[in-house]
Amino acid sequence: MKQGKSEGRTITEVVKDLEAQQKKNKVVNPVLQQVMDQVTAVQTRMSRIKHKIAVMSGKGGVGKSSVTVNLAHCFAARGYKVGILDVDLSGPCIPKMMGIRDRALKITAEGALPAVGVNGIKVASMELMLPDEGSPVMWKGLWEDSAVWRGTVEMSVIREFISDVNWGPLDLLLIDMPPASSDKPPIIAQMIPELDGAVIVTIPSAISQFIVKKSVVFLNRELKIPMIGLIENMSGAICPHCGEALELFEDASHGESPLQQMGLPLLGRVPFDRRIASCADHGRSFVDEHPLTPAAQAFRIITDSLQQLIEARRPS
Amino acid sequence: MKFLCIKCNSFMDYESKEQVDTLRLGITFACTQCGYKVAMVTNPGETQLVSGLGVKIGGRTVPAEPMEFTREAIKPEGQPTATMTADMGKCPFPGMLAGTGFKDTGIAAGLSGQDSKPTVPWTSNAEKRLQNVPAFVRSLAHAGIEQYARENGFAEVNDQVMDEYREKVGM
Repeated sequence: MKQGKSEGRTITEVVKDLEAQQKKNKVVNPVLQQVMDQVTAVQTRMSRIKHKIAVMSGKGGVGKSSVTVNLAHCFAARGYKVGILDVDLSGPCIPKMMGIRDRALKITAEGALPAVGVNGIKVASMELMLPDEGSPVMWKGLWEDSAVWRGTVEMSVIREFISDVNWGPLDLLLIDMPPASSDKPPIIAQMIPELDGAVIVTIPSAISQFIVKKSVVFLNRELKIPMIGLIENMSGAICPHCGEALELFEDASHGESPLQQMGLPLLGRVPFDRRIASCADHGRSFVDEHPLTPAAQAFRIITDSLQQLIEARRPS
Repeated sequence: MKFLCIKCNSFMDYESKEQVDTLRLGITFACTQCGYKVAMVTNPGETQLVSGLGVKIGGRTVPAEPMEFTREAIKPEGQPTATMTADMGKCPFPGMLAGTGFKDTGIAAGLSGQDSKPTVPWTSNAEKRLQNVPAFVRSLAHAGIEQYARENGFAEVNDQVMDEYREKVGM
């Protein structure tokens, strides 16, 4: 028996001929066809949304979800039809912050219908697929220990959230990204067609800015994801007793940060306010309940900038 | 992956698949020219990774339902993880409940996992050998070895089981 030959031709020659024929006849591998269908489904779904903004950070605990929720309320107050896609699979907290933890995603033939919270804000989150508040996200499979397998499954789940949630008409989708700079966020951001850009949330600590800078460099320079601007959260605080402004971080300078030096515009500084956390804990809108606070005013100023920017970038 | 029929210079087409066991698929391909068939048996890891992409081997016969992959991927709460060893799976509470009056209510029996699939004890040497398996596939190997032992009537996972299983999976 001839090894590696087929009627005097090498396997390479035969395969090249066959693949050329398949290309001519437009024959597609069934697995590849499914992947192409997945990409088409994502593009189709996302094309119905006018504006998409990713809310990111390079570091956890900077208040990304809280910023996302408050921006959503500000946009909704201006008449925008707003959705929040919570793609933090391990720590999904948007439904709780929106007071809709008990409203599961409804599966219909037209897609999964998001839960609707205060101000008509629509929310899709892994949390809305879990049986109860105490349930962690766990995946079924024999390779539970494998980071490679788990990563593959989680990206497929996120892809499905992007393609299968039926938002209806939406002016703005805010995507609450998981923390970290090198793992899922860049892939997710690249998955979303016509992303207006990313808003980066940081806090006035050197460590946060050091880490966030790395993710900005990676996202912008390497992956070409447009950076809209920077939000400095927990930027000082107002004493609840005397009303005096104080620094939460001793070394906070509030001068030009390394991120601004890179050309990233500062959209605004949100001072720490205990009522932001309290409203989030109880699923209420901080900006609506405490509209005159400096933090609520800061959120509205940031919304002004974002609104101008996205409307100028791609008129609806 | 695709197969080439050397005789006909033609790619073979996917024909059918079947579940060989919980870890592996048998996939049949046939030559479109001469009808010659071959079957491949996937490695457990390959099966898991392909299914992790949310695609069906051989193509879909019906369109995917909304959130189909996510709904299938979520593990119901309370299902043990594949990494649990036989000892970890044993609940200490039934022993504590003895004589408390709860024993006869069936609660203790439920906690002891008597209704679940029986675990196979491991000899210390077999456990030691399992530690030589790379961590990222250890749980998979653990499940596969136990299943092999059960299916072949072994009362424990010992060196013989380990040797036979290694021979079987070609490691």
